Amino acid sequence: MVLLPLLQCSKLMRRLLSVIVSSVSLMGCSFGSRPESRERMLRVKGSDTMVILMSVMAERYMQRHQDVRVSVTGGGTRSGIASMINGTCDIVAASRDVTKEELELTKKNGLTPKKLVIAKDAIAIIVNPSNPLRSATLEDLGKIFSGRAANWNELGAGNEPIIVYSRESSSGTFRYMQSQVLHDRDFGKQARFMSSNTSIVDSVSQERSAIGYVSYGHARASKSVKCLPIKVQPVEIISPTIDNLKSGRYPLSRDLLLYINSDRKLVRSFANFCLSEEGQKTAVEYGYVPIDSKTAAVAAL
Amino acid sequence: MSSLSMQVDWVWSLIMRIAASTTIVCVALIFLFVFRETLPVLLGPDVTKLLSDQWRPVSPVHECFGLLPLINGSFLVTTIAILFSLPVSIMTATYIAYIARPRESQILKAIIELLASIPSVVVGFIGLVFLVPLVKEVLGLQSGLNALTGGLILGLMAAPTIVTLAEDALRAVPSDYREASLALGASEITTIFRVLIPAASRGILAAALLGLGRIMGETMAVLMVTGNAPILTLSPLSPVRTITATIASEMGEVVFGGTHYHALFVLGALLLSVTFVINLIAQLIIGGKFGGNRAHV
Repeated sequence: MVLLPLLQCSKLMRRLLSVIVSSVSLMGCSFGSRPESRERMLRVKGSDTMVILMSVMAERYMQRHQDVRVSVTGGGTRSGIASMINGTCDIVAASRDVTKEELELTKKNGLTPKKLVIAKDAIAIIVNPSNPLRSATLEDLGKIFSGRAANWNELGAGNEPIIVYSRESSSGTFRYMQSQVLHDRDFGKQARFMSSNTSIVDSVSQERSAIGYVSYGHARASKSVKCLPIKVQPVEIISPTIDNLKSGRYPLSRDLLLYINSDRKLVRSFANFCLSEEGQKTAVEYGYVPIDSKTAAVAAL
Repeated sequence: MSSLSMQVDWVWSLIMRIAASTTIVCVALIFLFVFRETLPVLLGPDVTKLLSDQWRPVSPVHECFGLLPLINGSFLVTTIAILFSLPVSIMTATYIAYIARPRESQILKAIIELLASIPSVVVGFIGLVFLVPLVKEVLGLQSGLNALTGGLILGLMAAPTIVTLAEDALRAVPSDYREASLALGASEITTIFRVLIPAASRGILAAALLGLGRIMGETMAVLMVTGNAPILTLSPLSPVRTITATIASEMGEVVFGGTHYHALFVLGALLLSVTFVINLIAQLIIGGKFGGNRAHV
């Protein structure tokens, strides 16, 4: 009678003890192996625009360096910077410069990220293929996206209310449009804020009266939307093509950046890969404009 | 009994007590944390920005965090969802409880419960691919991303909750009621509508409220199909932005400690309070605190 519970108790104790011991030893193991595994891990996070490009870069980099794991996540430039501050990523992919406020935050956390231009990107203005509009000036676009032009007839293109699609406010592309096209005005009240380039392309491909903006890499991949050429002052009409981007004639383009936060060899090696001939070729394949080789050589770490 | 075995009992009951308190402590901490994070904006100078009629968190001109368009969005979508879901769910529950043969109602119930287990992202995805174009075509709209589509999707998602609970309520009505009504010469349908449903009305109300709670808190599916434009409107064909969708899409990117961050917490606190009150009322109804609503047979 007395022994039984004692036995149970000791059994329980023994089991408990063994669990504790094994978990401690496991912890020991993981602590032991951690520095090494971290050395071989590279985390890239940031711009949703650059997710595809960075994933391919990562894939090709890993083919060359079999022992390295590179993970790529999107979520917006801002979330990339936030995770750099939190120490959960090594490289931020950014489709805009960091703001003063963000730079101060990173400095406060003891980081001095280095900026690196790896390619150029155009912002394509996309409409439904059935839209009769041939081109638009930047002023027209400003009017449309700020909601001051609400009907396509104001641009002589049918008589339907315009449906405006925009990226979420966290997106670098959103900031770019706001400063370059809207001249720091707000987007129209009726604008619909979508969380990814893909969902904008999707909606515009389905809705006749829709207009949106996405990274050219995303627009090019889809046959179901039309890139609207932009009319520049005299009578020049310029489509977003690689040539027009290279020559700088297409007005809506920006640098794609990497912000690099650590002095680790691996980080440098990956950045150099992006600037290398193969990295730049990858960028072109996905509809981005390479930076010229001289600049790349200077930038290489 | 030895003192040792009593000790073992005591230890175990202590462990279970701790386990049981954990959830309560968690809930209390969540409330505390969420409400604490709203204070900087509620007590600060930016509180007037919450009263604006626009939600424009990132703006070089004038940032404003008007809650009204988002409350409006959630309200509109929820109303549509419940208007669509309630009649369908109650009729389904009635069918399962009274009309279907036992085997049939077993299968029906299994399928309905299966519906409850589909992840909301998947439901949202299906909504995006099938329902959005359908709504657009059938109503001849420019775009299918609107409050109506969101409401339909949410109504579908709330249906399992409402059906299951309403059916329990209907089954709990004593069979005397039914037999008495039939014996008095009332038809089956009259019996259902005039006797059985009124008799179960308390449970059905609770079911509807719990369904409402589920609808209000749903995020992923609405984020995908409502169009996400923070507009102040009562038109079901207009795109709207709900409280949940706003929190989900903006929380990850916000500057910690900024006005935007705290404004999102105000939204969270609001949502938490509303669903809490709804659930509380439903529990009270089920517990019989609001009694006296039996049918007068």
